[in-house]
Amino acid sequence: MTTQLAPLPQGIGLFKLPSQLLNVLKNDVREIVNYRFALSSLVYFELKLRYHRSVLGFIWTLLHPLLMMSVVATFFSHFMGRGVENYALYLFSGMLPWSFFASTMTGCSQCLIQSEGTIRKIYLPKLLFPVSCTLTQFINLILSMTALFFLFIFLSAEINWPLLMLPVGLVLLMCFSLGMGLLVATLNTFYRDVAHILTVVIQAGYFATPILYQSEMVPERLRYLHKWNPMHLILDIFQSAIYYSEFPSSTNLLRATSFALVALILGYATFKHYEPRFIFRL
Amino acid sequence: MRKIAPHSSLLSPRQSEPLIKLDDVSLHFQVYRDKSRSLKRAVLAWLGRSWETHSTVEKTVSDSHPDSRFVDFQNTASQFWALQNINLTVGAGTRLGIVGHNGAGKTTLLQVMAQIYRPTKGHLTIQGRVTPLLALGSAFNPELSAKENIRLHGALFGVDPVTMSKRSDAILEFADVTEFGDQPVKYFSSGMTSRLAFSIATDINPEILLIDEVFATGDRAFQKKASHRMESLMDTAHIVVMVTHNMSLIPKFCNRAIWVNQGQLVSDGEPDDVVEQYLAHLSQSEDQKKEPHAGQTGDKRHLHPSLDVPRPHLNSKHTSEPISQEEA
Repeated sequence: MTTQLAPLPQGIGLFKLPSQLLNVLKNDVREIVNYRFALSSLVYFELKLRYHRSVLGFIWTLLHPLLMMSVVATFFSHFMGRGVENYALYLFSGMLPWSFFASTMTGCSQCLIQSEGTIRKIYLPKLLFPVSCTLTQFINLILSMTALFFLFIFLSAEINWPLLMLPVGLVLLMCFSLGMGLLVATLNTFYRDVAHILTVVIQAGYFATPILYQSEMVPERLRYLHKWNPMHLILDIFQSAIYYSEFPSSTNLLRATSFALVALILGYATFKHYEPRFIFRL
Repeated sequence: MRKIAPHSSLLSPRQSEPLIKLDDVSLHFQVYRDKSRSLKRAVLAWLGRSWETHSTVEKTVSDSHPDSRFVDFQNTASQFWALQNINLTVGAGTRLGIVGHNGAGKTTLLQVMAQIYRPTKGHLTIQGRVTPLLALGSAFNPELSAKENIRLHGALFGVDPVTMSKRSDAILEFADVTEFGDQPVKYFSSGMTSRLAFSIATDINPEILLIDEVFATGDRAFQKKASHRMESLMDTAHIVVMVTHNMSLIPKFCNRAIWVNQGQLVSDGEPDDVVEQYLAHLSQSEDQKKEPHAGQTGDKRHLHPSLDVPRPHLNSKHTSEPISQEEA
């Protein structure tokens, strides 16, 4: 129960941190458990406020992606989607996970700044804010995926074994997004410019990743780039399972896993390293 | 190698006597002028630095032109030591009062105890659950209703939502806002907000209570009720640390006092003695200030708003004084 606060780390490089990372992580897990009510309340009220005073409320979790997909399907099916059979299903398999990623990134970049009032007044583990932001988006993703899934089963998709890969895809997606989210949260607290750059980068990523088009449509000489696009590797798990009814290739799976882990470790280490200084930059 | 000390486990059961211990604690403060550090400035700072190291000619130029673009970008932030080498041990049963000028570091000291700032140097040891009463209203989410804010606030302090819901009626009643429990807080008047904030914040069973000038909220009737509650809270808490400008409160409530000046601990002892020393110092420095401007009869209250003269907002209706005077 004793709290011992060591002085602010001064000049400890990020590379020294990994040796202590496990201890730090253990503490953080314990802290998050201690503050579980705070975490669940933050998530609950965030979800509640999102559809606060809208007539349709939670139905929007289903309706919004559906409408977005209809718009894209209407305008792009002639260009990108030409020759793609069942284009709507393809869009669904890639767009939902991507929009989870995108909104987690924007949410995380703002989460500490938005909670300034609370952070200045009471002690809370800072990790609570990006984690609650990611969880909120994740619950949203699960809800809209389930809803849309039933719709698509009704329309066309088949139920088969590759769908079992979806939980794996979800876990990897969440790890990668949380890791990048922690990184962005740290960067944006120090340089507010990051939020502006981020929207552009996310938009670029949206076009650079095969979501609206299939990876086979990319010229052969550029296709090697997909191997280095973590979001493509992760989305591939979803697209294979839902659209192609196939298991993803093991190399892709392995690459996706390593990208997710690297992102998570990098994001976490950066966040923890700069955590004591956040308060001066809010 | 530096060991990462175990972080707070504020909410786990207490094993030993409540204690606050500061060993040689210093806090270096950085305040950024425009609150943010832009990427452009960082790049310029970096360029400026490499410029300086690579070209001594440029350096001399920049030295002679203080407002040229080679100014030291590191200094765009004002930096200072908010606390310096504070040694303090506060054990169970202590009611500690902190006195000092505005900006002397009283609130900062309280915030260090609340673990909002981490000491730049030195060690802080806390045993027991810390409840800061610094938080009046700032943690409210304006979109949420009063009841929801009660649950959220409780959750941030580790109380489960079910328990908090049960207590919400009593909290609303104390704040005289029972009929508005389901209204979003943004429609509340400022008086209602601060009353609600006060009754949420004080609906606790504190071990270590940190108070920053929360004696005066609401109208007279509420103030009376509020000060009763504060007294009973201070009775139940194991440790109380309070910052106030109201010198009459210190001997009344505290059994120990410290005087903080420019981030340093000036004296520590019996409340009466410390307050006396502090007041003596104040009148002395006021005299010194007067002498050079003998002709000017400055308003004393302006220099030291809180001394002898009752604090403006204690007189209920006068709340239009500049905030800067009230902040420590």
